[in-house]
Amino acid sequence: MKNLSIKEQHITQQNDRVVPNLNKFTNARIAIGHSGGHTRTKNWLDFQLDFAAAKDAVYNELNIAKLMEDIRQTTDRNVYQAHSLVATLDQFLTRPDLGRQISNDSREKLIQLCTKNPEFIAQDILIVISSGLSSLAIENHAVALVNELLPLFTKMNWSVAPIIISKQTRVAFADKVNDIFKAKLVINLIGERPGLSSNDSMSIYFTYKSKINSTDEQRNCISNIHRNGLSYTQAAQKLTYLAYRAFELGYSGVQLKDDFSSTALQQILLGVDHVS
Amino acid sequence: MYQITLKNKKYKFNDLKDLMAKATPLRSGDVLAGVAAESLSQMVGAQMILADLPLNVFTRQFVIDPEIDEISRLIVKQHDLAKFAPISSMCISELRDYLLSYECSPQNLIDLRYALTPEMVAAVSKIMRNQDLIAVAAKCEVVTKFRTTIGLKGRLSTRLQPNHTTDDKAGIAASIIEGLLYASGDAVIGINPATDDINQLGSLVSMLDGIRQSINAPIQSCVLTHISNSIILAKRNIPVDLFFQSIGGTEGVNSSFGVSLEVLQEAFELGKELNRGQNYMYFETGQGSALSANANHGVDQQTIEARAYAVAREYNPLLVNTVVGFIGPEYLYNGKQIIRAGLEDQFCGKLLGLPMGCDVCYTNHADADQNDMDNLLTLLGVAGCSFIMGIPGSDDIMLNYQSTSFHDAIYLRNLLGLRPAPEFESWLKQQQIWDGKLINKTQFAQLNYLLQA
Repeated sequence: MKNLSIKEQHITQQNDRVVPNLNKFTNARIAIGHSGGHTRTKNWLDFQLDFAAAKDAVYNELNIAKLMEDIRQTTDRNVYQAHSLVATLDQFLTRPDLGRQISNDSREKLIQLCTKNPEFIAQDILIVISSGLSSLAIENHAVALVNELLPLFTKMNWSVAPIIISKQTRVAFADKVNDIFKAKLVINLIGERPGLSSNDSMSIYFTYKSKINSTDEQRNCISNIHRNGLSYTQAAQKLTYLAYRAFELGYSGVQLKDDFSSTALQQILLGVDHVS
Repeated sequence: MYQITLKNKKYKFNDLKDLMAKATPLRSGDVLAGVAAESLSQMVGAQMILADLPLNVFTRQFVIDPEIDEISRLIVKQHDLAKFAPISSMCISELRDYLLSYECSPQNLIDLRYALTPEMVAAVSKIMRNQDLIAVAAKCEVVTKFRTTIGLKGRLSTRLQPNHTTDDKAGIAASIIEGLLYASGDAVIGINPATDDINQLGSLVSMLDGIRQSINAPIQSCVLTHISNSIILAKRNIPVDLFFQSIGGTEGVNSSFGVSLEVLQEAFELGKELNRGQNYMYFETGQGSALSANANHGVDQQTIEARAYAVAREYNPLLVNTVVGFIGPEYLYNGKQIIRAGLEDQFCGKLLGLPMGCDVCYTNHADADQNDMDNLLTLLGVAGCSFIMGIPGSDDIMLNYQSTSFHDAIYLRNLLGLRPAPEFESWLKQQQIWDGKLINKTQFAQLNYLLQA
């Protein structure tokens, strides 16, 4: 060490413990070296950037008007809003109980809507889109996923109720909406809790014949839908397959085993006309 | 019914659990449960009444009736009346003063373990400042042993947590290698598996044991799956070192985890038969889990957390880890609440005789960041915390939350002169990894073997 300049010594230490190629095995933050016992500046700031992106995803407010417009433009569906009892983001984060309830105002409006349009009621599928903990997930993936889903539902001859959009709601909120629409299967597209590796991951929860007091055991979840996770096509196929199974078996939830394969779905699609 | 008049205002509390809840420093989980104090003055009023309460009140009044809850029955069973007799008329404020006094030695604290119940310990913690919690926790000595000895004075151990999104073995091994190079893993190498598949779990357990043998290191490992899975694996002669389970402080929350005292006892007996030594259980806890399972009985979350320690101490665990900030902002809202809860858990656990570690952590929807974690990490180091987590770059890619990194443990050890567990420390020296600080240009002898495997 004696013969090295301060800068050279510093570089030596930074490269210490950086095992060549170790980080090709995992996305975990390894082979990052150290400065004394601490992280190096670059790694610390990289971490902060990913953290900031995750926080921003939580605080970013869903642009409902734009989302409704995008859905109207790309599909032939009617789109409406519904709200929970949550008034602020802070309340959304600390009062999950309020995020599960539908506001009286929204409830009244949807009931009126369904009275005027009785064909909205008792369809096969209801789609509820919710920002959840990552509005970015919805802004980045919801429209694309809906556009993969609807053609598959059409192939299956499944009828679809209008699409409902909400922000700052929890998963059980969709059951409250479906208490009005009474679709056989309610599907909730919702933003997941953001992590450092992905801040816009989306999940799909679905419940067969939901009730206002349905619990998690009656729901299934397809998670991890984002750029480096499950693709829209994979997610849409998996959901269609599991929905078919739920219709066939008459239940969803923990008892509904995920034995999806795209071959199984192809077979169902080929003999599809009798379904539902 | 308890009441007090302060500055011309009267405050009333229905019963002991109401009094304890209202005396608790503010946290979002108690607000969500509807049991928190409605004003700071009401909180102080509750603390003043609690301070004057004699300890023997807690042997007559229960926050949860033993008739409906097996944890309450366990607490009654554990209470050592002979040891309790000399302190039974002491009140909570006197207990605080005693714990903080010069006269109260580490040995006195050991003798108090079963004289005190979790509710008494929770009650006294509610009238203690953070510095009080730190000072008493630092005085407690809880030593446990598997292949390494955990909790000795002047030592700090780490759980190396090499999680991977798909349990990929090469990915897990890569994180383990990195961790060992940073002197991490002397509490346990513990994987949270992504899978529930029993054969895959078995293969992870065997892989960890294979690594241990190939590098000839004094370490223990654990795959943190449901305890019923570990029982099956151990019966199949898969080399399970530690039996892991998440536990809580009511029968209901344990039932939501799919366990009961009977199930825990079964694992405990099995470990005994397999000659695992004295300490081979590993428990995780955390404030808020009971409310999240609708099993809180109107009791504040910190008191329930202390009750979970009665469950833990029944089975002489090697490690108990409070996963303090994982549960989210609806239970612990921000850095301040997470830090307070971390210190409370350290104090209550240590006083009740547990080898307490802490997952110093937060999720991205909580109002907390790495600076808050640095604060709690440093405070826990001073408080004599037995172990913390070591996660590559603080970022758990599988569980999507942030905890402490390999580097954080080095920071704390260097700052406070803390050393790894003695057996592991010798091994690290032999491997040229650590001699009081990181050895530059380490030649970790078995590294190449590990990389090939």
